Amino acid sequence: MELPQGTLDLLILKAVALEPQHGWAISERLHQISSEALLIRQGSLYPALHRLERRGWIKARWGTSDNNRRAKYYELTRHGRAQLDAQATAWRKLAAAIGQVLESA
Amino acid sequence: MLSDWMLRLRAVLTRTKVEQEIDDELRFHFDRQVESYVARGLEHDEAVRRVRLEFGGLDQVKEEYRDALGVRFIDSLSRDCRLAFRSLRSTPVVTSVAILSLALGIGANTAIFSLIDSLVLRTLPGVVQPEQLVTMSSGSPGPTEPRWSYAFWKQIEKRSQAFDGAFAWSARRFDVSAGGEIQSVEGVFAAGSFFETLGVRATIGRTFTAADDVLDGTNDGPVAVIGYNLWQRRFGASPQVVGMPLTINRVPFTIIGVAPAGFFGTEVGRSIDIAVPLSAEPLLQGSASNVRAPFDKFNMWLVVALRLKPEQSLEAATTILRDMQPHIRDSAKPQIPEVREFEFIKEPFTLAPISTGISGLRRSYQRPLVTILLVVALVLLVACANIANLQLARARMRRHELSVRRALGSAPWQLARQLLIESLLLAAVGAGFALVIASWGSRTLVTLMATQASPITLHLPLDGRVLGFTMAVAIATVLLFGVAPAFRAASVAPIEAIKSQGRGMVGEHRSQFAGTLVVLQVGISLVLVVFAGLFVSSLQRLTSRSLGVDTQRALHVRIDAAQASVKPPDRATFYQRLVAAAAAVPGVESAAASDKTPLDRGNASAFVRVSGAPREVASESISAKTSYITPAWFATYDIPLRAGRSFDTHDRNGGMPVVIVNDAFVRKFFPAGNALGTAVTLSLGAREEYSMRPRTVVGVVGDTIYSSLREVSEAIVYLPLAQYDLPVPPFAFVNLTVRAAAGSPAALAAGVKGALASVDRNLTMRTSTLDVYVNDSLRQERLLALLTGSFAALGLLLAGLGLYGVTAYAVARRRTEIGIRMALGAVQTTVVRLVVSRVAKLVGIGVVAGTAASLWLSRFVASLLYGLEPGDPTTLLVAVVVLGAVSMTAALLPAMRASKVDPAAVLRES
Repeated sequence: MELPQGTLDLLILKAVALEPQHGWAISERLHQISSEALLIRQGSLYPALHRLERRGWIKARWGTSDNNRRAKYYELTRHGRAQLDAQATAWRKLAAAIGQVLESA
Repeated sequence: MLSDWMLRLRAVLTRTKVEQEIDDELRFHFDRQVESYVARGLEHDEAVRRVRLEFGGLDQVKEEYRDALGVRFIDSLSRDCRLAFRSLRSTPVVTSVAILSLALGIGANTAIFSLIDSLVLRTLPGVVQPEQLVTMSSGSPGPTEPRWSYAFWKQIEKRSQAFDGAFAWSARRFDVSAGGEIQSVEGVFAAGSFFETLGVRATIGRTFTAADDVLDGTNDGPVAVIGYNLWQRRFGASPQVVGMPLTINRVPFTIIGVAPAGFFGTEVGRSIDIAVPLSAEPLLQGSASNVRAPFDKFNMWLVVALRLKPEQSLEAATTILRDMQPHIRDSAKPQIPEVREFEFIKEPFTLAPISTGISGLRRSYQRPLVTILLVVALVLLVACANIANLQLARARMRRHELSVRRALGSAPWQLARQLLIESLLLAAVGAGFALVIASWGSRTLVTLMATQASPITLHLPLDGRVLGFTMAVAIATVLLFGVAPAFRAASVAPIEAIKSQGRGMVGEHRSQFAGTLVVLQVGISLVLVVFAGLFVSSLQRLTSRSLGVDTQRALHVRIDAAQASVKPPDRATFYQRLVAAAAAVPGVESAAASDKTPLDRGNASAFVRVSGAPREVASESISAKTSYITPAWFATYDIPLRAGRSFDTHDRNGGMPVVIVNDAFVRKFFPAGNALGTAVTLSLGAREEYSMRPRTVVGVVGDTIYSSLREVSEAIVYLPLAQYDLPVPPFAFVNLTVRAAAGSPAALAAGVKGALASVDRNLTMRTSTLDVYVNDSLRQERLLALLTGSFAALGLLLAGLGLYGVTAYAVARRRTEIGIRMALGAVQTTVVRLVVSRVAKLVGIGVVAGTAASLWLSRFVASLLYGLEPGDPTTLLVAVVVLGAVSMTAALLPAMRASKVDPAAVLRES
């Protein structure tokens, strides 16, 4: 399933909200949580991660992964958390509104 | 956003590291994905294949990644820079000419700007909140700050608590030699409150305060604060300087502190090497002390300034002062019996801000400098037009490359960026050299402005303001010469790439654009040449002006007799002894003394009433300049006697009171010419009681300059020094002039000084020949003529080069056409006419525009001219001829070459 425009950022923020994650884990996590409905392509994931980093919503640091390899971990900043809340609320409102319209029709 | 730029910067600066990290991160992802497929039961090779498919090309991902990192923009920028560098290097001569003309243009602008900045714009350095400082005047402020007496200052000082303090000062030159040759330094007599009110603290030691400014001495004896430069120069920056003795004008002082670096006081263009309290003035000025004669009308010598309180407006302070005015007037009024009710501070007080200090230098050089700034800006414009043409030609040569790049998908702005970067690179390198030229140029200008008698100390830092100006000018030049060619070239159609030698519309546009530039250059050059012409012929008229005196054989000695052992009332006799001593020196033909010399910027005048004539209202129309002289004065200066006799030794007190007048005086007061034998009454003020006794005119002499070469001949009345009868003692400064019997007067200097010193060892003397004197008085005019002349020449050269380039280029492009025309029977002259006529048309338009512009612009410099009007037709005509000659030479050379084209060769080529 293709992601609607602009929603990838929101999903990434959500994926790193609990704890720092590396890129592969983020894509895996989104894949699993969505019951394998969503597939994030690497070509969009990494540019999106760096877009978010440049905006100061997430920050990156190098760490060691569970299988003992160097991996780049991304975590949410304070600014990013606020963004996540705001965007999630907006998305829910939008989804509810669209749902309502679809129901009534 | 900060994090954004930090990351971009990191990405660019640590290039390989970032690349490595991208690699690592993607590799990690790749491997994990493979592992996860293997875990789900896929063969390893199969898993790798699938992941690779999913990734859709690792490099593509990386590129997108880099894009998101913001590396690509900066990346391609640096690539463009390298490309631009290579492109500029491939045409070394053209590039050097462009950089040289930019460096000269920007450098000249920066040099003049830094001078104007220091002299006019900058607020006083080292002073706390200079915007609160104001000077006082009575009536509306004139061009110069009014001077006040010591008595007046004491009244203001008493009332200074109404403000945040008040101070007074008077700039002087001091001699710091312990004897022997004079070592002259700049200094100031300053009130005790001077440093405190300015907010200036000593670097070491202390500054003097009101406690040190007490007449008749303090416990510490006479004290002095020395300037930072003198401390470095003379005391090697020794910290032990505090407490050391310093001899000023042969009087011992004690150094109590050193003023901070960069502090030069309140007068821009001067420096303070030594500051002494006002109370020390009687010690240093001896019998000429102004402090000791506080109520003297002639002793107006102090500039008085106030510091406003933080919330105090100029109006509020003025009101307070005006309320005090009657008391101040009563207490500080000149108390000379003969001049009982002198018009003293009659007009209400006004205040004027002096946040940028006061400056005589600024008054005389502000206009010339702004004029020169305009001139150098115009030269820079001509240079820009040239470079615009060069850039256009360069882009044109690369038209094929550009259109290929267009065809391959480059956006026009990308091509324009490439060309703009070339221009920016040119401007940046030019600006770099410009800074070197500027710092040398501004210093050289200051030495051109200074004379031996009035040195200039001007701090010219290469600071943020100056650098900012240079950068702004450099960017402006890029906008001027880079933008239009860049976008014009970038708009090349992709189809051009297909036509190998196409002559599309771009070419036509180009020549139109180049034509506009030629018109601009010619117009501006004309303005430059007109300006130069106006200033050069003003200078010429001034130097060739008859002074009315012979300057060739005269040596001038300015004598300060303040420390001489003579009582002030006896000075007249003393000066006559000096004259006798000088006249006895071998090689001296004659010697004379006077209070004024021709060109001396002094001003003494009196109202004149011819005996028998009705009394007139005192005004400029009945005033004449006065000068006290000794008998041989006219002979020494070689001023012709028109009628009657010169002064002789019988003209002294007790004899008949006499005067000698000049031709201008006769024209002004005796239109019928019957001056000889008539009595005239001179008076110092408007009222009857200011009048001196009547004096008989016994001689008429030729006109001379009085105080400036620019003035028309003034009416002058000469009085014998031996009959000096003003209510105040004679002047403490006297001008002695000797005339050499033969040869150079400079050779007499040592002998004359020795003879004078044998009369009194305590005289301070400065000698110069009159020629130097005359030259010094024209330094402002000379500077203007020199600079406008050189820059006009530079502008003309640049315009000529530009015209030559444009014509040569046009000829080269029309080679085929010319060849065909010649094959069809056109003769050489036809070809030359063909080329030149187009250029002539452009030059014609440029000349018309330039004439209009110079007529308009030259009105603003009218006050700097002498002897000719702003729109002087001769100057204009000469300028047009010069410009026409240069333009035609520049156009004829390529035209001649074009006419030598071999038609057969051309036809074979095509």
